[in-house]
This record gives sequence, C-alpha cells and structure tokens, in this order.
Amino acid sequence: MEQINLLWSFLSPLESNKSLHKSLSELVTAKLKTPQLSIRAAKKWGILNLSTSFYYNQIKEFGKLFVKGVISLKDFLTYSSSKTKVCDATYLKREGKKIYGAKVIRNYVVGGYELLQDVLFTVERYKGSNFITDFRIINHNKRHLTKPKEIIKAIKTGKIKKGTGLSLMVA
Amino acid sequence: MKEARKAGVKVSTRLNSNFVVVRFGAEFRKEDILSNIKPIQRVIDGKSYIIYPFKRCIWQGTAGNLFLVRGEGYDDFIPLFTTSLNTKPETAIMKYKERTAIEQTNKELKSYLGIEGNYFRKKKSNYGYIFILCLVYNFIQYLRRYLADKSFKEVFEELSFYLLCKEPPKCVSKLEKELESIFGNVGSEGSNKIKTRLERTMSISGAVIAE
Repeated sequence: MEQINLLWSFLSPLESNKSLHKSLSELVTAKLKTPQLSIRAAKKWGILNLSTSFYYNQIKEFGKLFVKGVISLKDFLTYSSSKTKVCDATYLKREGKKIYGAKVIRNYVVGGYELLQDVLFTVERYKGSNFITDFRIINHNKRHLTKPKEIIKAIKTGKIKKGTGLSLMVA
Repeated sequence: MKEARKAGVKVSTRLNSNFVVVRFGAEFRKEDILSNIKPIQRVIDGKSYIIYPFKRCIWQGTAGNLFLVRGEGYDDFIPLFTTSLNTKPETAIMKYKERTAIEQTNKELKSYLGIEGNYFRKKKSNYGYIFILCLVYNFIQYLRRYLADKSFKEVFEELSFYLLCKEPPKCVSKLEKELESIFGNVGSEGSNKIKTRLERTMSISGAVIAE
C-alpha cells in the first residue's frame, strides 16, 4: 500500500483540499486499473467506493477549477519547462444529445457525418516524451473562437510563441 | 492566389503513392511529374532526405508549396504541404516530425485512455473528464522516463496489472468468499455445496438397483 500511495505523490498540488485530492486519486486509480470502465461500472466492480453522483460532481468541480484557471496541468508536472511546444487539435467522436462543443461534422477519412468534439491540445516535448500542458475544447459557432483564433490568442497571452501553421516551436 | 492557380499544381486525388495532379491544366502521374523536377538532398538530424519541391501549388483551394519527401532507404514519398510560401523544405520536415509526435499523443489518448467513450454533456464535466485523462497521460509519460525501452501501451498495461494485483476490486474478494464455500472442500471426504447438490439430485432409479 505504501508504494501505491507513493505513486500518487504527483497529485500533491491538491493536497490542501483533502476532498478533491482523495477523489482525484481514486478517479486516477480507477482509470489506470480499468481504462475502459465507466464510473458506474467501476462503482459496481468495487473500484470506486462512494456514490457515482459524488464522482460526477467532483469531475464537474475539476472542470470548473480548470476553466477558471485555478488549477492547470502544468501544476502537476514535476520537471522544468522545456522549450518545444506543439499545438494541434483532434476530433473526438461523441454520442448523445446536446454535448458541449460537439457538432455534426463531415469526416473525410470515413466519408460520413459524425458528432465530433474538437479539442486543441498543447504538448511539450521533454527528453523524447510528450506531456500535455493545456487543452481547450473548440466550439464551432459564432460566439466562440475558432481554432486559428484560439492559437492567435495563445500566442498573444504568451502560452506559445509564433511559428508556422499549427506546429509551433519556441526558440 | 489567382497567379498561383495559373502557374501552380492542383492535386486532384488523395495524396498517396498513386496520386494524380493537375499542372498547367493537364493531369500527370507521379512518375511523370518527378522526371521533370530536379530533386534536392538534405540531411536533417543525421538522416538523409530526397526532396522534390513543387512551388506554388493549389491544394483544396489553398495556395502553398508541396514537398515530396523520401527518407533514405524508403521507396515511397511523403507529401508535405505548407501554406507558407517561404518555408524551406528542411523546416517543413522538422514541423512534420513534430506533428507526428502530437498525433501519437492523440492516438494514445483515444486508443488506450478512452477519451472518446464518455457521456458527459456539460462544459465543466467535459473539461473535468479530459483534465483527469491528461493527468493520467502525463503520469504514464513520466513513468516511461524511468522504464526505458517500453512503449506507452506496455507501461500502461503493466501498471494496470500491478495495481489490480496489489489492490484487487472488492468484487474479487466477494466472489472469492462465494467460491470458497462452493469449492472449498472439493476432493476431501467432507461435504461441500457441489457434493451435497449432486447427492440430492442423483437419485438412483429402482430398476438400476434391481439389476
């Protein structure tokens, strides 16, 4: 058990908030143990101990804190920042109704229309490994920024430096 | 843009080894095009590349430069298209190599972490779920630095087995108790559930006894 607890030392930035830290370590453990299981199934298997609604609320809370900028992925990285950053978006296939940021878009690879969510990831290269430092769900409507505008905004705010196209390299 | 369209190359089919391009109003096969273009050779990160540069091309309505790049020892070309007309082929190759790295990240997030398989609808829940998956992804990458020569999949699977072994789900211990009561005394003289049930159900008919 000691070794397992040591594994979660990378979640220490949240240690001040006991409830969030505990639920995050449980959710991360569940994801590592059985990546394909939903929260409901993990609860049924006995991997998660508390009620499903509790974990749903906690996930919502993490989202809220991330959107507000209170927590970021960088807080959980244990190395010094590298100089190479790459920014690229990918489509995530989704199912259901009224999903945030998802839209029916033509998939040119498959040749049909799919409900897709566009997520822009910023990745840092460090000693041959990729680490995700930021992400943003891009909304394909008039009220939100488009992918190129998101990149321009990231350049303006200093998150990434100007490069060519989607692939951006610092220094 | 108009000038580029007049002078450029328009790719009329998908860019693969058998693509057909339209150049100056006529269609050409790859082999025919390549025979008219003078290739250049560049060494990037110690590897040699043969590059066929096509300047001022039109691809999907956008003007840019097309570089057909072939690595040393490979037969097929990789088409690299850039909208920046001043980009050198070396820069395009470097950017392509970066891009393959982030595409690997996307693939790992989708294939192994199941980033697509959730039913969260609201903005905050979506962000929260992706945030947790990114943390898991970064953690695996962090471990990979210490477990040399192992892929993301290997580290992820081995860690998964390790955690399941050290801390099995509660359903396992529950089932273990059930199995214990069923099979616990199998092979011994004492009774167990299976033996008792078999003894109850196997009533021997009178005819068999008479024989």
